Amino acid sequence: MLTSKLEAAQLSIQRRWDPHFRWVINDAVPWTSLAKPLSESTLALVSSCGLYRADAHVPFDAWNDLGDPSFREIHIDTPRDRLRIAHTHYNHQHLAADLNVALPIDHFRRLAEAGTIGRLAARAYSFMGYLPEPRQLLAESAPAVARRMHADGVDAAFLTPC
Amino acid sequence: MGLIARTLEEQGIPTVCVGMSRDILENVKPPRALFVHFPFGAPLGPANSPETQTAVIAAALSLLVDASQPGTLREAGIEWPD
Repeated sequence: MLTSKLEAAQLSIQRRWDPHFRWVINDAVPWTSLAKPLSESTLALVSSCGLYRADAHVPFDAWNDLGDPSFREIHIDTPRDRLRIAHTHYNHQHLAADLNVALPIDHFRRLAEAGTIGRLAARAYSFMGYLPEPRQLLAESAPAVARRMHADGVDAAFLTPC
Repeated sequence: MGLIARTLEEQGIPTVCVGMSRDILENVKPPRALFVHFPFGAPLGPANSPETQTAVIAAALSLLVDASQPGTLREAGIEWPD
């Protein structure tokens, strides 16, 4: 059941951008247990704030009414001045001033140094969260990220929307 | 974001997801979700507020470790600083 707030948002998105948009309503929930203590686990960061690397990536197609289901891989050592935001559905003020608002590389590095987590995975992943049609995300992009995480020995993922 | 979390989890990667819309989290149902009363664009708190950001991260990591029920939605109870 959609709340009246979500119903209103759905109508607005249908009128303005995508007449076929429907909120996803799930019933069952997938589950994988954490296999190791956090202090021995490799954590990977994922964010859907539209971050990309200006000197290496094509920006997300943020002006497309149907969204952009692709993703960008961002190495945690990427110089901060190379990162840009392509996303037209939130206020960039906080993230533009401080990457840790949504991609908390500095905080997770400190957690690894302190031994709270085992390690921060070198590859972080960026999506553009405005996506009224998620089929390609579910069939291709998100499984591709899962394969890369398995290749890197990632034990858990920390996700932030915008 | 919840959809990505669900796909990762289906592929064998445990996830914890921060979210600013309780309504969306309740419908999409990521495996473990931490709800914050923050505006869109600032999931871990305001810019240059490391105390707030690390408090949200600590709450999310506790949820990752503690949660035993698929679809656990926990309220962070962390205030946006003045």
